[in-house]
Amino acid sequence: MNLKKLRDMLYTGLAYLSLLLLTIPLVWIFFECIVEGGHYIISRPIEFFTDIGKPPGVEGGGIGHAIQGSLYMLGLALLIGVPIGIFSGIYMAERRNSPIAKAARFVSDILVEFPTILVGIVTYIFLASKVTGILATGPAAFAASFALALIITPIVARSVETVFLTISNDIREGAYALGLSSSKVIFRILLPAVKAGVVTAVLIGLAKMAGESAPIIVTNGISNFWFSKWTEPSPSIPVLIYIYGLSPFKEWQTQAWAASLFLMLLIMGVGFLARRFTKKLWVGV
Amino acid sequence: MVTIKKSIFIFLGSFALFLVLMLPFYFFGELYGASEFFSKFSFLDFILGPEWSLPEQRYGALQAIYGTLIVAGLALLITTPISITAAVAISEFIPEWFSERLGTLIDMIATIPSVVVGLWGILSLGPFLSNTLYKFLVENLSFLPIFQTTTLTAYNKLTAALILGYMITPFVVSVIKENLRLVPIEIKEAAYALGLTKWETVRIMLSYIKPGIFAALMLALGRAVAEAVAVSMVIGNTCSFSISLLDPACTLTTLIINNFVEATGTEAAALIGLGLVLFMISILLVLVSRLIYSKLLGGYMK
Repeated sequence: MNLKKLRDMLYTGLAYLSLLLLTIPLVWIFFECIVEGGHYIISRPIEFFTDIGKPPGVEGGGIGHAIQGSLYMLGLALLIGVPIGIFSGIYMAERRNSPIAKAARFVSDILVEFPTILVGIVTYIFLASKVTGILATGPAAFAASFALALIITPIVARSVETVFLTISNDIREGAYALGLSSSKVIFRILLPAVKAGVVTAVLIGLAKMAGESAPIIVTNGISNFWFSKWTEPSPSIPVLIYIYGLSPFKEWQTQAWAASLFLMLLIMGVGFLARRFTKKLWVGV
Repeated sequence: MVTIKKSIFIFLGSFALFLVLMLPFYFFGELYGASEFFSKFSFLDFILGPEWSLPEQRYGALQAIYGTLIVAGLALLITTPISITAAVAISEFIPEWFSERLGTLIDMIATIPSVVVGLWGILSLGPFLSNTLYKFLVENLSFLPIFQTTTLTAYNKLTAALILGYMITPFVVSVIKENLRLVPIEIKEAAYALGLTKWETVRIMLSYIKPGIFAALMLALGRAVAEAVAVSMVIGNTCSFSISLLDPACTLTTLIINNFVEATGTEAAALIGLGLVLFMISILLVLVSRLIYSKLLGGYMK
């Protein structure tokens, strides 16, 4: 009997140990970001967000160019990916038994787990590659946006579908009974009813792609200058962390921590907003 | 009236169709990009070719496949015990008010961008481990071939596996948590009524959700295989067949991420060929896990 109790205690101890093992790196990462990066941001509160990076050995410099590049890239990706995601999500919910909806559900479940680096490669092959691409520009910012858009489309579609499925059928029946056309029912009745949920879906997609770096490196290459043209490589926050982190220069490594802190706060902020909107959704319907 | 009613669904359906076609589009894109390479070399030679060497124009994927399997497999070995015990602790042992917060904390791990995890690996974890754990392993356990190395570096297979294991754990924890919630209360009650201890009860619950755990681990393995940036930052990027975990290696994704943008001609096509191998591995893993899930939907997940 005592042996049993001992074994129980041992296993329970191991369970708490694994929780500790999971928490330590998280705390460690935040600690490094805040101590190394936070210190840098506080010492240059404006310069950090507005200036371009300085060459190694020169004091100072910021990530303004990367913030600008990321904003352009993510903006275009949202413009392309969100409408496709929302429209196909609505179709998957409103025609849920049609073969296309079933196939779309199956495929988007696979695509959510699909390696993002491959999405980047295919986008590069068809759009930007000098040999096989339609536009033949070589590595370019617009290709990165297309890749990011393709990455968020299945995520947005699946979330929008889930949101539309929460609408009670009484609302649909009532709207159709009034003699409204399908497009009016969908865009005037159903969509406004779950507005908050759709915003959440978009925010989930945004949080997912804001941290992506592999598809950007593959399609856009690496750049450390201001954004100039859509057909040229553009800087972005994740790729800046990548190059600065791999560099042997202390100043750049410190700035990589600072950029990491900024990026993580940004993603957590988007996640926080998403949760706020989800709460609203349940009140709204 | 009827035409308007239909046309909106044709409009929406075309977007859904686009979504459906994305997967075959990716596959043919990979094939198309790699076609230049596979017109010169056979697929079998490519997969079984032992060496990846640019100057000698030799493009063999075996070293990269070996590195991928070792690192991802090791990551899975690391994550399995930790995620199972952590999920059990959160859902069974800890009072509810605290377990919810702990759950949110662990979900936060999943929101850390992979490049930030890589940055931590290259600047903090790697140097720390090479001064402590790796030194210990080399000094005391070097009679084991997996811990033998001539030059100890901070960036090797073990660092990469630890980082990957950490990145995939929150996902596995949350899936196992969901599965544990689905265990019928009767089973728990019966176990306690028989006088079983807490852990004996937990073991019964775990054996009940075994397929769910397996499906989650397959998806996690797929994520580990697909991860590119964090791995490339800490794995050392030297292709070899070395059996030692403390030697650097390369994987499918690290070769692609390090060389793709500058690559031209045959090299670029060969890198896309690596992508094709990655494509097949991850689709296989996702399908296996989906298959188990769809079986479960008829079972306890009804």
